[in-house]
Amino acid sequence: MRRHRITETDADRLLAGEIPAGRADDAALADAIARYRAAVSVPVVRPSAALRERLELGGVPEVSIEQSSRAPHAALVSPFGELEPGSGSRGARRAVGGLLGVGIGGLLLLGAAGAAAAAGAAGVLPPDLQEGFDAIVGGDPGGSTAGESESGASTSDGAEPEGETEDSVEPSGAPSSAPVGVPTSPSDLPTNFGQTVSDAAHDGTLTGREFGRWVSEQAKQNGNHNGAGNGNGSTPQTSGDADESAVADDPGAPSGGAAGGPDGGTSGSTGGASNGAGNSGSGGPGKSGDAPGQNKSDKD
Amino acid sequence: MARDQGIAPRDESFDSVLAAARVGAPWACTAIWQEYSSAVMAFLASRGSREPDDLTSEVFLAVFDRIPRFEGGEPQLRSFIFSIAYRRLVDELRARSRRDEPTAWTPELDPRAVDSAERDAERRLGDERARQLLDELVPDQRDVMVLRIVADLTVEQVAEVLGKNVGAVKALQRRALENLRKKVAPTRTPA
Repeated sequence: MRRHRITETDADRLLAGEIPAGRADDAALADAIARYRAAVSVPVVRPSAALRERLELGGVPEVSIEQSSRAPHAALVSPFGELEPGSGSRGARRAVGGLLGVGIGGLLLLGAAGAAAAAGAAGVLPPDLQEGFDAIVGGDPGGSTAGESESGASTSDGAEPEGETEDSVEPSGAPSSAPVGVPTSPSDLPTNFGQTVSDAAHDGTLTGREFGRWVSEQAKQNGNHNGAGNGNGSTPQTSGDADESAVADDPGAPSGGAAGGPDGGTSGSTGGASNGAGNSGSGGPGKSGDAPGQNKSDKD
Repeated sequence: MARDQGIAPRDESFDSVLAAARVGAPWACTAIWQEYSSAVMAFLASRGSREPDDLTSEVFLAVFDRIPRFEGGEPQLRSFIFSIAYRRLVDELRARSRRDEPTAWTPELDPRAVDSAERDAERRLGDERARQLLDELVPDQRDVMVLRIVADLTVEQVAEVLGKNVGAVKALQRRALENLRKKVAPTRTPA
């Protein structure tokens, strides 16, 4: 049987895997070409490393299987090291996030609580608060408060400064909610101490270094009395340092500032002496002593 | 034509892709790679390249190096890419020929034939037979057929790639089809 000549049109149809019109005898040829096309087709091509650098294969399936399988792990690499996918990594991230979250708000609360506890241990809380504190820790509320005022002159006018302290500090509310280092829980003693210092400054018998040394000694004595048995002798140094900045920024702090206020020149040196006293003395009196002087000198 | 639209990702036109590829934009190079790489590799593999993966990458590296000087539309780009592929293939075949290595395709050397041996046996035999049919053509006819079928080039594009005139390509194509038809024709057996 003689076959017909393949025309260009027929060729195009055959090369497309189709049977030309009226050429049923070419069905096998069309099928063979279609099979060939399917047999040599390549669904996935992996680019070489050099070529990959010039391509953008983020979500393209042509990326090598090894690379794409590593991608999820690479995405979890963090500054803390490589995290495996799953609950473990989520837990670790949650833990880190939790610690970071605690860092700001939690530390403030912890610091305030610590400051209140330190103040309570030092016996410098207001009487009712101090009572509560001592009841909790098992101390003697009356004893420490009674023993706080060793300086006789100050003890006698203890009620008056107490009112001053409440006016200047109480608006902040509960002592435990105040930030670290702010003397929100002054008692008779620091107020009296400030009054004592102020009186001595007005007296004028001691000036300069002598006055400072005297203030320091007074502060130490007060600290020894208030901190006796509480074992917090080491904390005041730290809290006293922290107080310098904290108090200077706190407008409500100057409980003793009124005492030093009228006498400009003298109270300036008094402030300096008080700072020294605060740093070398116990936390409670030191804080209270720092506050007026610092604020005073700032105002000056 | 669907192919004209297929190259353009992100709803970009071919001209935009080409312009971006000329300045080396990775997304444009990727678009070109995605559009043509399968056909190029199929062409190289079916024409006997031993490492069609690597050769395909070499082809596209050359394409991207030369594309800043390329002028034309999508059909010209297709011809341009397969021209480079064909030259690379010829280089490989010549290099192997100098080393007295076999250049023709054999099922044993084709990695795709190994994995598919267990399944679709009947179809595989049909595919192998189809490949065998084209491999039995003389090289010129085979080149034309592979470029027409696998690379989906027109007669004019094949002529450009092979460096022949269009009439010669048409003649090669016709003779190739007639040879194939003879091979696939059902043999008449006496009743």
